[in-house]
Amino acid sequence: MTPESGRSPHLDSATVADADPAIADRNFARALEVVDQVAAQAVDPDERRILTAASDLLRAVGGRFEPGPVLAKELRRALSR
Amino acid sequence: MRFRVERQHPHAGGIKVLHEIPHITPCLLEGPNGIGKTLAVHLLELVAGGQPYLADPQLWASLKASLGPTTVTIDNLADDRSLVVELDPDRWPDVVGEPLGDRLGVARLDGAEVPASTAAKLLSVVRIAGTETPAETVKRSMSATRARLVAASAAVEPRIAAVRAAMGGLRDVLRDLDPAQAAQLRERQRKAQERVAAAAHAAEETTRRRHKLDEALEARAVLSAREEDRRELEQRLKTVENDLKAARADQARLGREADEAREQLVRGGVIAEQLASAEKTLQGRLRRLSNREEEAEEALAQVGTPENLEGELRRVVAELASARSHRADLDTGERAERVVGQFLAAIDLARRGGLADDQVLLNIDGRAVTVEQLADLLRARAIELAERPIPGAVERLDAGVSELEERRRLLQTAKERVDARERQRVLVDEQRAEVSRLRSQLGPDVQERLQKLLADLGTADQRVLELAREAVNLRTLLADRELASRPDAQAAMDRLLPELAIAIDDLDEAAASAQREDEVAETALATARRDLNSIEHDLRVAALAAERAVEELQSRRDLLALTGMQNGDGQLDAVAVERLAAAVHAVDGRLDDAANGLAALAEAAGALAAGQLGGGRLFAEPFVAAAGEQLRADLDTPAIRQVLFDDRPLRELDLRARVLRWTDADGDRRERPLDAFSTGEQAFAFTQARIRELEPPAERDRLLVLDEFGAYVSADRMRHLAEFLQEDEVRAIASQVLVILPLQVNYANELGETRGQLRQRYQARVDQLQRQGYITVPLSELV
Repeated sequence: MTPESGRSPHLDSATVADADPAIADRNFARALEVVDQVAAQAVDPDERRILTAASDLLRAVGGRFEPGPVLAKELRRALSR
Repeated sequence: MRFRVERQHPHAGGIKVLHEIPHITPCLLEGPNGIGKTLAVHLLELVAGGQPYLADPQLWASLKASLGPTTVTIDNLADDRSLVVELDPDRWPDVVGEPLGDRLGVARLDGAEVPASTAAKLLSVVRIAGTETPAETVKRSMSATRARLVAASAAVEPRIAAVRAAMGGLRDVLRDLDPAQAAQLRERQRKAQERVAAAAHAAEETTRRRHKLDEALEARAVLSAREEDRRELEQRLKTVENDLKAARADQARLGREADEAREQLVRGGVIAEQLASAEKTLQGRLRRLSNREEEAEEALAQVGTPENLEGELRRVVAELASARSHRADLDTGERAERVVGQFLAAIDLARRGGLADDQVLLNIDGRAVTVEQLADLLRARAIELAERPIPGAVERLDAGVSELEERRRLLQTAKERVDARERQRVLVDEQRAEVSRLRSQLGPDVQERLQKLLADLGTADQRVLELAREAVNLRTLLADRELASRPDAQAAMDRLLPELAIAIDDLDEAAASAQREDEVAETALATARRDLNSIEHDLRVAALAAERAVEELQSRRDLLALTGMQNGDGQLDAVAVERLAAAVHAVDGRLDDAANGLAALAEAAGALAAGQLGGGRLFAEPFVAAAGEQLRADLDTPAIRQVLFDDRPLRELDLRARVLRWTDADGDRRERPLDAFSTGEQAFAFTQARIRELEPPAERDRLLVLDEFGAYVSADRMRHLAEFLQEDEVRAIASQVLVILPLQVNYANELGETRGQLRQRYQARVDQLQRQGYITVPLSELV
């Protein structure tokens, strides 16, 4: 008897995920959780930087997405440094 | 939901399948082994789009062969829908692992035929086995995490690409800017400027030192001069001037000689040409002489090479004349023949000249003889005479004459050839004389002489130059000596030597050294300036690129809006666009980081799932820590704490060491290996962890089955589990829960020992057992 993976088949297909914003959002939400959890444990500065970028980006592009505003925000953030 | 499973041939293949799961949640199903509880659940998993036989290809093959046509009916789906799926194992793939899809069979939703894969969109079935180990939980948890990250990554990729595409316009405008390089250039410029300043300073120093040394040398010269020196200098000057005069004369003479040699060389060139021509002519004449000699030898050999050829020839000619005369005497006929011939010739000539044939020439005894008649007579006689037999002596003499004629001819030829040879010899001698004369005119090697003269001239020039220079120096010294004073020179020397930090004996060396150092410093300064120019050029290019970018950007409102920069008020300038280029680069980097981060996390999750917890991989450490923390958090519930950890909080789940750590009531640190938990404890703790991992099904029904737990979970833990399964947290992720246990009690036997509600319960169970062979009751009966 094999253990059930417990995961939704929807997660296997990015096409489905994209077609279903709710699923995409859930993926993002759960992925974001994982990213944030790992980032909290990261000590290495490079790892931390990458994870922070991944976390920020997930928040920015998850759900309803418009590339322009995301880019503008990123640019302004970079310019303000 | 209510699930029914009906096989066309219920007993075929030696397998049994449970035929109904009622619409109760959470539901407890108790039954003996072998009635097909797990098989029923697996069939439902298949209908719901899963593949429970992934790790059991043999079981799959067996099922396919034995099951036979089977109908699965699911009632009370969301929106009160009903689904009927007629399973057709013959159409199922032989290879387990392929998704069944529509090959599952034939499906009808609320009576209308639909693709069998529709079932997967309506229903999810999750089976959790009590036989699972913690390691498998970790693995599954990590696999689930990985799947989420991969899906998120795949969804994020096109969005990252869209953001990058939105950046396309900016990138074009900023294409020639490289802020990192510009910053580097400015740093290099600063350093180059420093180097130029340092080199200039050093050059100044060396020059100053050199001037001081020159001054010191000057002072020394003055100090070392004495009156006697002056006279000596004057004497020396006189000598030098005389030498110079002689050297100039020498120079002039050598110059003249060189000019002459040059002319001779030119002339020699003409004579050389003539000589070459004369030698060529001589060669030709010698060749011809050789031919003539050969011919003469040949001719002489033919005549026996007489000592006196001319004499011999004269002799033969005389002998020939004599022989001819003798013959003439011997052969009168020959005379007559000759006369007749002469007469005939005269007549023929006269006839041609107009003498008529019938002209009478003679009268012989009264008979007239015409021209023609006389000619005929003469002709006949000539023939007679010609045919007369030659007397033997005449014949012999003729032969002798022939021989003599032949010899005369050969001698004549020999003479001519000898004469020709002699003439050719003369020509050769003449030519030899000419060649000899020309050679003598050319004389010895003029080129060599000229080279020597030029070398001597060079030396003479050099000597003149040196002498002239010396003369000038001497005059200057004498002049200086007139003006410079000893006290001043001494004062200068006293001041300079300490400043220069040298002794007077080291002055010459120091001056030479200073000269070299000065040159080196000048070179270094020139190099440093060149470097700086080059860097400044690059900076100008970068500045131009920035200016161009500013201009372009000023005309692009859309891009300005993106950046939040304003046009005008001096806000948009070269510095600003450089910052913008750096920002674009930074954004690019962040987008890369984000994409790579997700991918790397997914990979780390995959590695963890495969049990590869090795360090060195990106994110391995924090991932293991986070996964351990998440699992710890999942396990750190009041219920689990109470039963497993003395009601104490769980401090840590170390995935690497595979231990759980907590602090007991006495404050002591406790730890226990994951594998050391009893199966009962595992079942409880990890079951909860697994359930929490489940995603809420998207507007679908989900059947959550906890199977094969009975052997591992004690009664009190079962109660906790039952409480947990009724919580909202679980309701959110499963619309129906089913717990399958083996028969816990011999209810028939126990019936007599029970009273009241418990008895009622047991009775109901006995009835069910009798009716359907298994029990299905609400799980709340356990609580």
